[in-house]
Amino acid sequence: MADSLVLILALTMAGLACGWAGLPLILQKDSMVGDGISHAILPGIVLAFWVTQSREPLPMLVGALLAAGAMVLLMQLMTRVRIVPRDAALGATFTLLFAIGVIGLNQVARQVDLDPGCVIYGLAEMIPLDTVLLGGVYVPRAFFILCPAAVLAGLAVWFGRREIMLGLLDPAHAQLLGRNPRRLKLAILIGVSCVVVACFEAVGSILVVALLVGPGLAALSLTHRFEKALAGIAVASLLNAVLGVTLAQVTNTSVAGMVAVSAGVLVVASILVRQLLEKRNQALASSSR
Amino acid sequence: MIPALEVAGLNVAYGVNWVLQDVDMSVEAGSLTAIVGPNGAGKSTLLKAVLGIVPKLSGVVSLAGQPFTGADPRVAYVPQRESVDWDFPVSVEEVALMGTYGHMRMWGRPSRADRDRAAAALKDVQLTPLRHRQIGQLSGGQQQRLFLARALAQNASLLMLDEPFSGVDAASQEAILGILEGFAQRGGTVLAVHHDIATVQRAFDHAILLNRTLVAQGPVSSALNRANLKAAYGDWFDPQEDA
Repeated sequence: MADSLVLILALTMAGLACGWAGLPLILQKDSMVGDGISHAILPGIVLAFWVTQSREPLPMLVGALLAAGAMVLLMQLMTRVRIVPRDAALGATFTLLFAIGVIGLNQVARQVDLDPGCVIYGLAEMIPLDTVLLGGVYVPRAFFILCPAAVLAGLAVWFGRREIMLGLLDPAHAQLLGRNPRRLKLAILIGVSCVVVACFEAVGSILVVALLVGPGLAALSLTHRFEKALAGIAVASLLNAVLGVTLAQVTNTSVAGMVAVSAGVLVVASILVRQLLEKRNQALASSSR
Repeated sequence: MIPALEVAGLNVAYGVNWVLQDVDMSVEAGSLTAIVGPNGAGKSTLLKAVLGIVPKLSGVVSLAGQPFTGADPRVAYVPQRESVDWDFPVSVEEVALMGTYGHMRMWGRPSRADRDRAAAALKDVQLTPLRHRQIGQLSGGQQQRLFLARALAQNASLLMLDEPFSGVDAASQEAILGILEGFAQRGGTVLAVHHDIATVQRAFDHAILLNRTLVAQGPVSSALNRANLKAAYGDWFDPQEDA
């Protein structure tokens, strides 16, 4: 029971960090860039393992940011040749980097204690077991990364919400007011890269992809306000975690996999609820005429 | 009198396609000026190049006699309605308030005065009762008026609009024209891309006739005379239909 609670807490924190950081990506119609980043950072992480021969978080973050930067740069190079559309450039770039990462991972895994499967699928089940003694209490090690990631992502999106809305709704207007919309997009990419790196070790890159988009889409289906969407992401993250962990225990399958399934189910459910509400409102409006 | 906006030797190309060639133009301060021309003439590109949204190959832009860098809150821009994401989770009130962000520090909060200015702008365009709505829940004309409110809240001196009457009904068009006339009467300058020559002849005082290069500019009556229109539109121009 206690282990389930720890798991739910950890996965909720991962959902909060990814969901809040992913919201600006969804709003700038760049959801797939989050997918791209979470795959493209793999060679950077492998490079960091290979250089430092350890799993220290700081070199991993630097390596991942370098790889994310390489992805953005490669994409820009491709789209400059006008025959390559942006989505095609993204598809070509992240698969290339991911493939390099997988090959590198298999090579490095022979030298470092690192399981390629854990990197990609994560090992959420291990979160309650991998603990650190703090003030007489065993605290899961993942909390020390997931908790600051969630808090920092939340603070950045909350205090930056006006700038995010200004720059993403109409970049030309933002530029006239002295803002730099390109710098905003870069900041969003860096923020997402940091969150992806912070979360992937605990929950795996597949779940990170699902959490970057799922809670945000579910929240946006049910609200028309940025602030309410941030609250909606919190609710969706908790529901994802509770549903995913419970289903995984009942069916005795992968926790990360089940949380990703729950995220998808919640998106579909929230879209259905919205459609039902819209139909009810239309019916009420026509009956009051 | 110093022109509100001046463009000299503007050249723009998309890849290998030349869109604007050697355009010189001048927009008189306090005027209602329309940019007119056939489809593909580069009207929207001209606005975007002036604003720095599309890169210039060459050319100099001056705002009230000073070099214009593209970041100047004295200029307000109303984009084409089709280019805005109307599903964006933002309310009518918040969009109007965005007009006041020019003097607000990054990460700052709008002041009471900013909120009052945004509320006054919404009142001017008669959107106060709809202020809490999400922007996608407005009609086409209301959406245009909302972006005008943002420009009014900005306290800009030059208002640039890209096809402000596209997809709006006749009543909304008149309402928008009324707001633009009021803006010009208070000393502001309006520069709007528009494709309907009849409306331009009726409601604007100056015109810039464009077809990849400048064909004519000046008061509407002289800039949009039959010879100039023929030169810009070629054989496609039918004076019975457009004039």
